[in-house]
Amino acid sequence: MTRPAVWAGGVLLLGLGAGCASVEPRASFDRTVSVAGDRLPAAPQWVRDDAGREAVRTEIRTLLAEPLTADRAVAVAFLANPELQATFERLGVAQAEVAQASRLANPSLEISRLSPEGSAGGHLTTIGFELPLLDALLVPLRKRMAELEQAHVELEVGSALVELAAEARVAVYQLQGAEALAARLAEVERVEKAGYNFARSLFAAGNLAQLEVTLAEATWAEARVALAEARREVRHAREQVHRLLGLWGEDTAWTVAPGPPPLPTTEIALDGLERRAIASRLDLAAGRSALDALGRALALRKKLRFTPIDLDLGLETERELDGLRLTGPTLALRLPLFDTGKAEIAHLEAETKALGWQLEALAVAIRSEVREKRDDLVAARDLARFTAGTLLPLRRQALDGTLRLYNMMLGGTPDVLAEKAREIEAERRATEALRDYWIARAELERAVGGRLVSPAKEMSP
Amino acid sequence: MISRRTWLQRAAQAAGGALLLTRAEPLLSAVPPASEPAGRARKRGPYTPVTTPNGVTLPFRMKDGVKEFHLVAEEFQQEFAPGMVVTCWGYNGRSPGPTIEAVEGDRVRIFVTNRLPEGTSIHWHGIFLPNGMDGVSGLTQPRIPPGETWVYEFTLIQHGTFLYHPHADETVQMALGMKGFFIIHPKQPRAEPIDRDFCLFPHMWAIHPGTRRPDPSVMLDFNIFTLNGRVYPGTDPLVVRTGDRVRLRFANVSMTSHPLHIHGHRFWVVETDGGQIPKTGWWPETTINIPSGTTRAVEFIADAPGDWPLHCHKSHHAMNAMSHDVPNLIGTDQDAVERQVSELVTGYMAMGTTGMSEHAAHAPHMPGVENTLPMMMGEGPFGAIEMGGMFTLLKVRDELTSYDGDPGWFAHPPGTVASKVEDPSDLPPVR
Repeated sequence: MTRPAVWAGGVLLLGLGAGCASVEPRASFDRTVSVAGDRLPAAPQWVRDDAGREAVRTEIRTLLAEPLTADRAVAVAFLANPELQATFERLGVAQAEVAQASRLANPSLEISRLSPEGSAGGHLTTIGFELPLLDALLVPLRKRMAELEQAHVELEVGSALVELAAEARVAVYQLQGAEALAARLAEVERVEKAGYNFARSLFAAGNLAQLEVTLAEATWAEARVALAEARREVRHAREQVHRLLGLWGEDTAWTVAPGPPPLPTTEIALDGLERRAIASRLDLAAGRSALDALGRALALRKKLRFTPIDLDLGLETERELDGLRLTGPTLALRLPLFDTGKAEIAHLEAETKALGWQLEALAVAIRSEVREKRDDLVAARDLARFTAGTLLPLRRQALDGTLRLYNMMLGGTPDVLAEKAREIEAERRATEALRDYWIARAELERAVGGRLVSPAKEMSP
Repeated sequence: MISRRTWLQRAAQAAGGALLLTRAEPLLSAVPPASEPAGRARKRGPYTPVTTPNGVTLPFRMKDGVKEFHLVAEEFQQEFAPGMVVTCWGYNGRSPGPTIEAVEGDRVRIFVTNRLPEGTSIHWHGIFLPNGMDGVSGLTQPRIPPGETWVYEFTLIQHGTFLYHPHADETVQMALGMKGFFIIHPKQPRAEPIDRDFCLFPHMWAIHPGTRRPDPSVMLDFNIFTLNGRVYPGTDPLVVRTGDRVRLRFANVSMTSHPLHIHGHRFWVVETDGGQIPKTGWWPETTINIPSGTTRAVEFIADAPGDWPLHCHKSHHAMNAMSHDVPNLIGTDQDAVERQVSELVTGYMAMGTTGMSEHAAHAPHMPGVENTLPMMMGEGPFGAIEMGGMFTLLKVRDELTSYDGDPGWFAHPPGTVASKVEDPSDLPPVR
């Protein structure tokens, strides 16, 4: 064998075996879930094939067989939301990028067979073989960059999971609130109906004027309108759950657990939340990771500023017309004379700075969000306590006092019914306050970067 | 003792015909002698002292020939009937205040201590006296400031039934209960002595349900009606022996007149706060109307034994707290409504569809409003009496051991009680 052939063969082998990354994204998914860790209240599943789909379907059916709670809803969403599954495929894309980055560029083979014009015999045959050498040297660096980008994507997917969990919880609380409100308004409708029937019974005996009956019927009619509107809100809240959980067809037959749930006996710790959010938010970490990657790309570009962009090493053999064979190495390179990469570097620098500013904006927004949601939580809790502990008992006392007045014939049935309606209104306020508390809590958990029951895993820098 | 009625019946039977038993002329001289109630000497001094049911007579002391009295204008709690206590303004812890009793010709000196939070004065209604003793604050004297004691003094030159009340912030002070009787007996005892002399002061109050202080801003919608500061069943009965000559004295400073009606008897109107009506001018009534700002006195012989109501004939004055705004349920069918409402409000019961009686039966067993009495009360020997307010009983008895206390229910002679017709098939035509 000639020395050039041995040499070319060696490079070929190198190219074939050089640290080729796989296209299988499973490990990336597992890493994503592991990094998100305690932030997630349920385990997401990535449906990759029909067997996976079947397994997930069984699990979904089991979850939907019980009344839907906020926790259950998150579990279903992590299995069934199609947009989430689409987001997971970004991991497949990132993994493919890593695989691509870890491969050498293909060599090129050139063959030409030239014949002279006229009748003089003979051919000029040239066979050339080229390897992009710089490319081969840069593979480790390129792979590293792709891996940084993959880490960024993993953080973004984790962040999307936290977002979806919060949205699913909020949707369930909204639905529970809407159903409780509709139940209250149904009770009000019964009160006004009784009032109308009372007026009618007096009118029938000649004890009340027609106008009074009309007024009572009008009030009842208004209560029915309010009830219809409340039932519409229930339908809308249900559909929002369907969209977030990715449910349709026979999967829409679930019932929601009655709620909203009562206030928890102990409140979550509410100090140091801003600090925790900055440390824990996956979208902020993803941004930092992207900034880091961009920084490295910029540094690399600066370092390679005056190195040739392309460097091709090759082997060429030529058989002349007279049969003389010429064989030897070839070297081709691009010289950074006119374009030294200044513009490209300026481009990268500007992008890096821009991303830096965006991260700062995100951090400011996160801090503000945390403060806002924390204050909302505290206010909602106080209101929930006040409506249930002070307002509602007062209204119940007022109803009892009114009934006593009625028992002594010092008040009439309309007075009793009016006071009952006010009691139901107080129940409505208490229900709304409780719903608002749980929604504020879900929003705060999202703002802080995930569940607040235990300390969140800090991001490694 | 033979009652007047029995005597007449026997005379009629003797006459052997249908004698119309009308009592057309005053039987003033034909009073059978009343025997003394056992163990109690009746006063036959210058006058028979008046009895103020549920009340007292103001004590006096003599000082150099002057009768001295002491009235303290103050705030206190008064029980109108068991279950209702009211914060009133009155005199010496009472509303009406203690009855002042004197004789024509007496010189009286009345000390008035003001323990109210505002100034007051006392006007002696109907009494002839020096202008400066008239008690009109700002006009004949300054107000008596809170904490001070002032004195009125004058000689009584008339006799009759009079009253005393404030003449400072009158509407408020009278609405809160300030008033009292001032009785002046004649110098010469009457030819026909009075056996029982009662003072009754009807009054109207606005005590909103659940409260315990009268509301002086109410002008028309009063809800509590009292005789001597009590509502039935808190009113003490007027106890007399059959044949007693009974005198009833009334005074009124409330916002409307009160027609007081007696059962089983008729009386003669004998006196106003303007003086005595000449005997020839006496006229008979069963109901004496007492306009606001007047007194009236009536006399009669209590010749019919029994338990006889004496009450204001404005029927809602003989009931306790009523609301004037409740829906009228008489004649309505509440079955469906009661079902619907009791599902929403536990403990709700329909009431009033057949009138108010059924409510009166239920009221004591249902949770009510504090310090508020049911509309209709009272248990009699034959069931619920269903009365309240300005309602009391004149109890006339043949046998009486004492005028004090309650002699219990009347024992009806057999055959004199309304009874059920067991077989209503043979009845007179209706039209």
